[in-house]
Amino acid sequence: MCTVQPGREGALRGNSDVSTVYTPGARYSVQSYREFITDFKGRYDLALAARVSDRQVLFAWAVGRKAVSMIGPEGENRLWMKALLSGWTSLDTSPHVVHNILELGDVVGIEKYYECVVPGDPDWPARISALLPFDWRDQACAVIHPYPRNSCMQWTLGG
Amino acid sequence: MKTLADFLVERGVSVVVTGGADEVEMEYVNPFVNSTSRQVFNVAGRIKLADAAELLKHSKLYAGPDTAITHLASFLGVPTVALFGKSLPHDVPSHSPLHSDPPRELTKRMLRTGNVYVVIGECDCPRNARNYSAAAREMGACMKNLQPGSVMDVPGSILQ
Repeated sequence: MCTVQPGREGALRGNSDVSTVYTPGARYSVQSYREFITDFKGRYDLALAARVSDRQVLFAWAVGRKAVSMIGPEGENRLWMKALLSGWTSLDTSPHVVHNILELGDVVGIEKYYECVVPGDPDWPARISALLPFDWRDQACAVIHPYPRNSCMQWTLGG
Repeated sequence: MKTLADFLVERGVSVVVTGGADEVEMEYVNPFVNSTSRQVFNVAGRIKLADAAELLKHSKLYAGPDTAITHLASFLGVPTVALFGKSLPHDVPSHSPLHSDPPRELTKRMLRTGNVYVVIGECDCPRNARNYSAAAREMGACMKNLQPGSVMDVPGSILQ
């Protein structure tokens, strides 16, 4: 099972390695925390938290008999996280967040696999073709994604 | 973004604009697409991430700021123009295997690692998100100072 924020489910859709995608309510609340922990407490042999977050560490600790997480860099308050976790990787050991996440594999003895595998299904070419009025498989095309989540990362519209 | 899209269309490349269905994002994306050539196609809000990944694999080039799909494009091996401001160096995207080949500085404001070109906006802030002041982050000065002229060399060389 994977838990994701609302609206992020598409990243895991069709992934044959994931049996269940769990999405909490639209907004995190004490009630949604309680429901999540009640529903899944101790159910899993291993829980991995792939973000540095108090909440993710608590969730992993609650649902996994063994919990492993990324934790913040040295100097941040990490003692309570280490007390709850069976293993951890530190965010300050790698220059890239994806690399940080993959290092969780080292902690649990899983070999790192670098190839990016895209979950898909047989219908995807038709879905894309329905959106585009040109033959995107044969004609030269480029993709632009202009809008980042944080405004400080936006380029100018005129650029 | 308009200059970049028009630049690509002028070189015979159709441009597909992706994005989420969020209302704020649509309000940003739609006027941008409407201001560009007819060979720029807007699929924002209508394309799933997995489908976008498949589209990326068939693309000659991807361009975007520091966002998830930029990292996805880089990992898929698509020639990627990553427009970065304050995020360096911790979040610079890289083709896998990660950082086996460290980013090479092509110019003061441009790095290359594998299939990824990182074009860096100019400002006085430290190139480190964790030291970046809240005020400067709000302003996004790095990105506002990113000049089209410094970006277009990259897609130009990729498309040659």
